[in-house]
Amino acid sequence: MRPPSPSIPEKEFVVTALAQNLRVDGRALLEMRRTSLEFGAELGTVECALGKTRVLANVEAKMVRPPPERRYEGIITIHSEISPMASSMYEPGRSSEEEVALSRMLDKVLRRSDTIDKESLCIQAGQRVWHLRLTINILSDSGNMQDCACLAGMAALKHFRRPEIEVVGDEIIIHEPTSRAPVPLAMHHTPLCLTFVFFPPAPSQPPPTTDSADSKQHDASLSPHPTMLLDPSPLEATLASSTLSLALNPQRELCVVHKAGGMPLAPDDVLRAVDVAVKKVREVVPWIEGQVSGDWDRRGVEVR
Amino acid sequence: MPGKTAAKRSDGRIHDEMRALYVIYEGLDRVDGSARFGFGDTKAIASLSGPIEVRLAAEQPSKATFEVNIRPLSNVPGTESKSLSASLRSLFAPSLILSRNPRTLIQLVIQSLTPSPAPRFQYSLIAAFINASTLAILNAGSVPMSGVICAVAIGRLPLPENSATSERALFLDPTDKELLSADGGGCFAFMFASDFGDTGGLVPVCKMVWTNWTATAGVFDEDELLRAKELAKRGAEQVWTKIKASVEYMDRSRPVPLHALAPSQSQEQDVPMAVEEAEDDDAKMEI
Amino acid sequence: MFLVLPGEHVPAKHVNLKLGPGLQQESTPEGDNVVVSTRAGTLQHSANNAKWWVESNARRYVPAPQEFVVGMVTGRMGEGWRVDIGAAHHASLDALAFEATIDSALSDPLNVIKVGSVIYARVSLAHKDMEPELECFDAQTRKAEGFGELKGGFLVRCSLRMSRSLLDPHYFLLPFLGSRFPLDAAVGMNGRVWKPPTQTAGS
Repeated sequence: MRPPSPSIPEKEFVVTALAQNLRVDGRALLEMRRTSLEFGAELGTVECALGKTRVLANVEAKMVRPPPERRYEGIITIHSEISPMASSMYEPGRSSEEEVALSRMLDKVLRRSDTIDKESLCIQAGQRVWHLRLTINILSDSGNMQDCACLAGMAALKHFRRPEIEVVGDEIIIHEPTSRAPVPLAMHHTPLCLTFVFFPPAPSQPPPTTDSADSKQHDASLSPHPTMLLDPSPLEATLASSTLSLALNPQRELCVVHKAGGMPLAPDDVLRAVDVAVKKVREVVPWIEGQVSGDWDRRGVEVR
Repeated sequence: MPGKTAAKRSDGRIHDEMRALYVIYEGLDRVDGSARFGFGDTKAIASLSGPIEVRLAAEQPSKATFEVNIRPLSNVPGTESKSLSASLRSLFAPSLILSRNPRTLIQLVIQSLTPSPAPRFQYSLIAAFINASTLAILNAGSVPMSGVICAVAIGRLPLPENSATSERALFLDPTDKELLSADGGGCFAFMFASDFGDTGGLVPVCKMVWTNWTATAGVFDEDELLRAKELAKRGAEQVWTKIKASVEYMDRSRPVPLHALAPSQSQEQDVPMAVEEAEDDDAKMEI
Repeated sequence: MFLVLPGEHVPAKHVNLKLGPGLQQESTPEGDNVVVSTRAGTLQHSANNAKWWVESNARRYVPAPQEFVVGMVTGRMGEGWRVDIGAAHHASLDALAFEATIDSALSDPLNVIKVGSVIYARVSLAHKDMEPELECFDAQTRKAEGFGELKGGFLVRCSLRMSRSLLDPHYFLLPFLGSRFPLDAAVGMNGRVWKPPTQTAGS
């Protein structure tokens, strides 16, 4: 059951509020909702929340024989089915538009951006490689699940550790986590996805209403640019004229640029979004890394 | 067998002791009810939506359509998930008064939070699925029920060599590790309702409604099944008591997780009006 | 506070017994009548023990007659509309279910209400086997009395208990907010609250 499109008063309210640089949930225009991570009982199980959107990510590794054309590389598979737990608008066993968009984005951000060093997953060339399976389960879809899923997936990959192995001749010895510390995955970089939505600039700007409004808001309202919002709520996402998803790493390298929706954007607007995104990623990535290593310390994964 | 039952298990529990029970009402945003249940680290989360609009093909003129979906932690749901979904559907359907909301859909989704190493779901995990589902239905409050279903798992140890008796030791709430050395076990589900009679106690009478008791060694032993059922019943009563106590805090939202990203410093200062908005929202979330 | 789970017997006895939500009467094989709860919550009764019900929270609305709801028009259907009220089925609202006026076409609901409009209405028919029906006039006076289209403003969704609390004149929130800024609201029993247009920042 698809929810009906927003009512006329809701539409008008969002647009008039945005003309005054206000968002319905009280956030600043470029503010993300509260982000949090929780780690499961096993290494590689992470629950991530972005506001009320919640995603569960799990990584598991198995040894398999590699395909003959890629003898030296491990395999990565990503599953991202959306169940009715996320919202009753998703039907079980039928892939929705959102599910296709989500799995394509996850594939680009986490697999094809060469995040994981696939060659380090090789155990014995042509004989044995690690097969990583990342499963993304959406627990609650309250807007922008794409960003939340990428964050959860990335955190799970960072948190996961595979058992230490040793190859002696043709034999493979798998060390129990109690005898030798399991090893984290070798990763090249940490891209994250950030989604912006754009509303057309209001035709005539109303004069600043409250004298307490600070100068920053005032500047933004004078510019002819479309209004740009980070981390849209479901209501904002359905009403927006244009969506821009960026996946990039703290080194300011873009992995994915995905622009959807009818309203054209000036290159300046895209660059402005990139600047905001870089700042955000530089804030979030060290935070994820801190959380992961903090959790490792609590568990005592290193063998003392 | 007093000698055997007194023996401590690998995690220090005695034979009829469960791991810590764990109940959290999740408050997932886009469903009508949700909860998490765990026996120690064996956890599951369930959500319920309904009564909602049903697809025309699944509409039933005299009762609600009831759907169950089980999702493993890793990979997409396979045959095993589908077969267990069908079992749980027939297990829960009699406890729901489906005739109250005809031509609607009641949708239960169960998400495992524990990896299942074997191709089959572990017995304790199935019990966690069932209890989480019960909690989700209670939390939704929009589907009338005629009783409450609680489940626990039982494991059976193989007969030691040169043992004097032929009675195998049974134990409550087996862990993954314990089941490796067990040669039988199963999950037992009970429905609790006062209609079954009066106990005079606080816990109503329960009846066993489902089990998947299996033994891989020896012949079928009816007495053993009865002993297992009695042991399971005692565990299920504890689960029922825990669930009942949780009704009191059902409405309270989930505690804020420990590891939250602090809001960035660059954030614009709130205008005074926005503060009031926040108070307003908080009140709504709690109630 | 007395907590109940579904399936538990409730000691409700009165010559003039009235059972509210969450309770149902059953007869035992011995021919006695017992009252059984069908949902989890706290058991409540009126001062004289005649009315009993189970107080609990829910998020999914199941329509009941004479309740006030805030709905959204999702489609036109002949001389009426289909209205989403958050329940399993859409409710129907007939073009004649408004206060009769002799005015011009300006106030004719057929010209005013569009798809996407928000309306405040009363459930006039609610039966499990039938589609719910709405009316936009008071049952006694047949006057509009505030029912009808809600123009502008904003919709807030909340739990059903919250909307019941908001309708309770003793509940703290609306007076509290009202003491800070002028406030007006249409509260639906279906967990939707509409606030009329004021200053954007204040609502």
